[in-house]
Amino acid sequence: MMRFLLHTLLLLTCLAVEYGFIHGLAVPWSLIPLCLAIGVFFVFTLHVDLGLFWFVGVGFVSDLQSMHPVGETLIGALVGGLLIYVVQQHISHSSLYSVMILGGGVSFVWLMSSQVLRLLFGSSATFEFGMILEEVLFAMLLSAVLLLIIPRVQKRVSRTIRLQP
Amino acid sequence: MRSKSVEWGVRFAMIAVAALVLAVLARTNIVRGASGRFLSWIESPFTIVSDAVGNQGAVVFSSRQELIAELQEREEQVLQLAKIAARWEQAEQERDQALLFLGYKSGSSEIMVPAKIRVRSSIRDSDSVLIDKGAVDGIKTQQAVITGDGALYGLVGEVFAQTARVVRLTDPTVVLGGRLLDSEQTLGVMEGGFGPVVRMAYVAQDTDVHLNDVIVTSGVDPFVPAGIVIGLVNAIEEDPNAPFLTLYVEPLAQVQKTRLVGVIQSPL
Repeated sequence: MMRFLLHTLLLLTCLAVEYGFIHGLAVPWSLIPLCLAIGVFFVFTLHVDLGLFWFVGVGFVSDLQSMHPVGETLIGALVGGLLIYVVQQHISHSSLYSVMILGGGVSFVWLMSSQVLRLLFGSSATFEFGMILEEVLFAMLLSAVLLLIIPRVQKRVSRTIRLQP
Repeated sequence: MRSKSVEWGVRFAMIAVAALVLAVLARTNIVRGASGRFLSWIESPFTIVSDAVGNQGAVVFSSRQELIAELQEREEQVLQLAKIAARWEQAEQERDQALLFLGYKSGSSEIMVPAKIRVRSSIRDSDSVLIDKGAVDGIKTQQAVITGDGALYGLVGEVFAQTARVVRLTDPTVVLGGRLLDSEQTLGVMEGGFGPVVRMAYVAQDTDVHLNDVIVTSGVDPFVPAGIVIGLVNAIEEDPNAPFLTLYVEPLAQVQKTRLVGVIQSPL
């Protein structure tokens, strides 16, 4: 329970950084999918429940922030569920390539679904495929960077700081 | 093996149902209003940092030629605007004098509600901002929102009790009438949903329009007064077989640095 509370706070902070800071930057920096990449990282480090929680959270806040919500919560949950299934059933260990491919794949499926829904519902007149590809590239790189950096940082921190049991 | 796939199927179904409930909740006005206030509270410090950083990052991806071309374009626009401003000032002086001759009192009847931008949400489908004035302050949907320098920022899209969401002109839902600064009649219909520019459709083929001409609101929309500056003509699409021209207008309202806007509640 405590873990989910902490992750709710972390998710809110990361969403605030993504929506408040990253989306305000110039293109292509504004396309960095920070929270999505963190969700992919959690799924790959076998914290599947947390990964799904992040995916649903990101989708829910996207729906709240959007003037034309197209059910990104549902897209997030389904994409997250699919990623968990693929990681648990078909991937034996989390290599850098698999993280990059699945990180990019998740981002691609999510963005394509939401864009198609927006076109169907008439809330968008253009299909920005170039931007989708740029965001997918960022998702691939960021997922890989997180998988490379966070375990190392965790190891170093746990060596330096020893918490009392 | 079969029981495992059934187990996964049940898991997927449960996740989908929970997400569906959340998706429906995300569409309710009460959740959208309350969450907007809460999220704006945590996002606003990051928005301020983002404003400070501004468009610095764009320079990294631009070539020297692109930057020089943009600089030249901006210089041309400044020159054009200076000429228009001079003409405008002269016309305003003449109007004031004419009104004095006719015995009218100066002053206007507009009611403008100043509002602070709490948070900006630039996401794929729309650019919108949350302002700190809502239904209790008399804000209604479709009212015009302008910046301090008088450019049209957008229209009120959603109204909550104490906040409202303003959609920028580039949003696909925005449709309003526009005209050239010098003309009196509606030139065409402005539509969002075309990236950072606004498309102006149904402009007659014989219209005398040039690049960098100023487009203002025509006053045909019930809550949008005439004469508010929208932007500059960025591109003209001409098809000899079609009866109309299509213009692409670059909105002049500054998005990044705007912290205060005015919601116009009555015609100017």
